Amino acid sequence: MSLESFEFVDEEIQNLMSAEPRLETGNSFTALLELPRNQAVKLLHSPEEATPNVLPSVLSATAKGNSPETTSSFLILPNPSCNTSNPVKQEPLESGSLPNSPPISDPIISNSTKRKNREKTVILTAKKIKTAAKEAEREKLPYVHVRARRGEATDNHSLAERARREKINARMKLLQELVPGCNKVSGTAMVLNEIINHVQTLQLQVEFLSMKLATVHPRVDINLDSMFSSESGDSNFTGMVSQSWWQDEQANGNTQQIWHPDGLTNFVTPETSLLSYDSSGNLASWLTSQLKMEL
Amino acid sequence: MSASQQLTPTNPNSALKIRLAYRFLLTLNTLNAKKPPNFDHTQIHRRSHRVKIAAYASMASVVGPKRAWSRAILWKIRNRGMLARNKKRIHRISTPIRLHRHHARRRRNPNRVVHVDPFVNSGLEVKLRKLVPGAETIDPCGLLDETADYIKYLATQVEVMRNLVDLYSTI
Repeated sequence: MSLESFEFVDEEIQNLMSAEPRLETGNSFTALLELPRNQAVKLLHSPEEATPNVLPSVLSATAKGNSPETTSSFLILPNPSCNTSNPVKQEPLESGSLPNSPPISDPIISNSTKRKNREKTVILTAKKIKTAAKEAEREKLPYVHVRARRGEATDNHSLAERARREKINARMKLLQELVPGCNKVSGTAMVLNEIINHVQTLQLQVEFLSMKLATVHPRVDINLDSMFSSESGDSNFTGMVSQSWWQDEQANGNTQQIWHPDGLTNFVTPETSLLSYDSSGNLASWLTSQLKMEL
Repeated sequence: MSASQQLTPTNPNSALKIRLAYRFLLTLNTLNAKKPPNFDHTQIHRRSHRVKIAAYASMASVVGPKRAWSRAILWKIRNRGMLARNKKRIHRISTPIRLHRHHARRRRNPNRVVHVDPFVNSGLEVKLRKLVPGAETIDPCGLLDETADYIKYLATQVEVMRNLVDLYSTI
């Protein structure tokens, strides 16, 4: 399957239309997928670096499964770390509207494709899918497939611009899902505002938490190697707590606590109670178990 | 005791959290091993600044050089001595932009104009570029990509730190 060149593919719609009468049963989705997959795919090569890495996985995925259940694995985004909820969301939509696929006549196709962009992108998942033909066009490959809209300029510049705009819109959709509370807002400017606010909030939180950590930290020195690797017995934990623990307690008892975050004033009392422990290993092991639970 | 079990991540998010926590705790331990904590005002301020730098450094080093923001953070931290010295000298040498396969980390060049597609309002986008580290000279498409990644890692870092604070405060 060559995936390098791209061209305007009006005749592909004709092919799909001729394939429509075949779609009778519930397996039509796989038939649809088989059809575009076997054709020579003309794609606009997206300039992202991630796509060569994603493509082998996509190819293996397409080779593996033919049932509609496995098609959910086809929709692989170029940025695999971002947001796998998008493809999962799209699949039920597609399978839901697919059984309503009668042989679609030409004007309907042209209207539906005139209304929306005739672009197949993997990233563009949030667009409403109205017709089955639109879904058939959606090839599950991480490339941007740009088609000429009817009555639109078809020179390379506007095409590339449109592809770029679609990519940017798709990324905005991803960001909208990442930032909580961004779904209700519409429009690019408001979404960007929300994103900026969220980033500022997170940075403020980091600063505040770092200040808190600076004050509350030095109770127990944790030996990380023993905590994060598998161990055999408890005897390793006794070495974990450093001797500075005792000195900290002394300094704590002498000086005044200037900062009063929430947890600070509790420090003196738990420490004095803990002084009565004969083995410091209890504290350390309890600490590590707490950390593991929370993580 | 149950603490001797190995940490097995159940989903990729918790694996990320574990990696972040490990890195962060490493740096925190070295921070606290160096100086014993005093409780006067200025020392705490200085320590909190160091902890903040440690948080960002650990976050960026977990990601590695794959991302523009992580590269920018690591570069800034490594050269913050040099940057502070240059700030004192007031004048800024505008360095030519090194044409690099990845985006070059460089000091701010005031003569450079960022050509952005006017689909985005320039005021908002400039704000976003200032917030996300290393995002001043990226095309808008990659900028959105970087912000998404940055937000994800920031959120996990905040969660790790919050857990740590809770842990330490309930001893």
